[in-house]
Amino acid sequence: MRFLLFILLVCFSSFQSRHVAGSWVIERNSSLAIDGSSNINKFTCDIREYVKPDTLKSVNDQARRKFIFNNSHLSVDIKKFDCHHKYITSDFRRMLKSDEYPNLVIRFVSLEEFHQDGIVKGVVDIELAGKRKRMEINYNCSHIGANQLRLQGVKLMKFSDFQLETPKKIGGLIRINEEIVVNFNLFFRRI
Amino acid sequence: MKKAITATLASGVVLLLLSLALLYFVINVFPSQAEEYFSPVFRWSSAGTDWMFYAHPFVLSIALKWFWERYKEILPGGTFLKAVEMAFVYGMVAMLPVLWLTFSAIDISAVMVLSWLGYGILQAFVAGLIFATLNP
Repeated sequence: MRFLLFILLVCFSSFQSRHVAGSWVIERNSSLAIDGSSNINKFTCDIREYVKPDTLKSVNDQARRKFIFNNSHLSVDIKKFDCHHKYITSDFRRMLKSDEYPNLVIRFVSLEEFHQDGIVKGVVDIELAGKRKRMEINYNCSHIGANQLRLQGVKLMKFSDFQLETPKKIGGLIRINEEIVVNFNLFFRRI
Repeated sequence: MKKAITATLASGVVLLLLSLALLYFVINVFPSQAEEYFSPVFRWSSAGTDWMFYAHPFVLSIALKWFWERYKEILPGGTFLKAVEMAFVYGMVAMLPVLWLTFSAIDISAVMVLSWLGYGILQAFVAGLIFATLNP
């Protein structure tokens, strides 16, 4: 019984000292990568450095055991995506209508309360090419030092989720596939 | 007349199958070459233009049949040699100058242009074989 109380006390104190309510800045070393494929090969379009230090504000909703974000988003310049292949990069930007909608916006909605490193569920609204879609993402959350947090998430999506048409060439015989995997690698620092 | 139409249609169908087979061959065997089709110089697929790709073997068959009917008497040899001769003439007269101009004006690789030259010569050879067999 004493041992159980000790464990509960440790968990509680851990929660008290590590909850993330407050303001956070997204670090420059955050990255976003999109794994896609065509019927020829696979490709990865990524942004290796996040240069806009957006601030996220959250409150801890104890009743729902969630952090609720308030008007917190990160905005990514689509023209900075590099697919490491000049033809795919060009088609990728065109497909995402980068001239008309230059930014991919990820609005953080909520994040499950977490007490220690591990998997947590988050909800985001993703805005792409003028369309918004709410998605659940499972993050692998880890603390780096006292004030830094790393969220790694993977989400399977389809271009059609955002009513985007994938490029097809030569009578549709050469094409980019619908499914993509978005890899989030976000570093947050408490401010 | 019936033989001529049959030969032209047969050639169109075979050339269409050949074009699909060769494209899948390039995708699977030379993927880096096939990637060049993602270049912005190539039109995005659409209902308005896709049919033209699938119709091209029939357009080519009609053109080559016209050529065949006019010049088959002066093509030397039997079935195989006549097909080789027609393929060579088509490659030299119709394809080489146009592809030369294409390469000078459009940002595509020399390998791509050469593959088109080889593809065109092969198409004319196959059409020649069909014409020489079905409508000599």
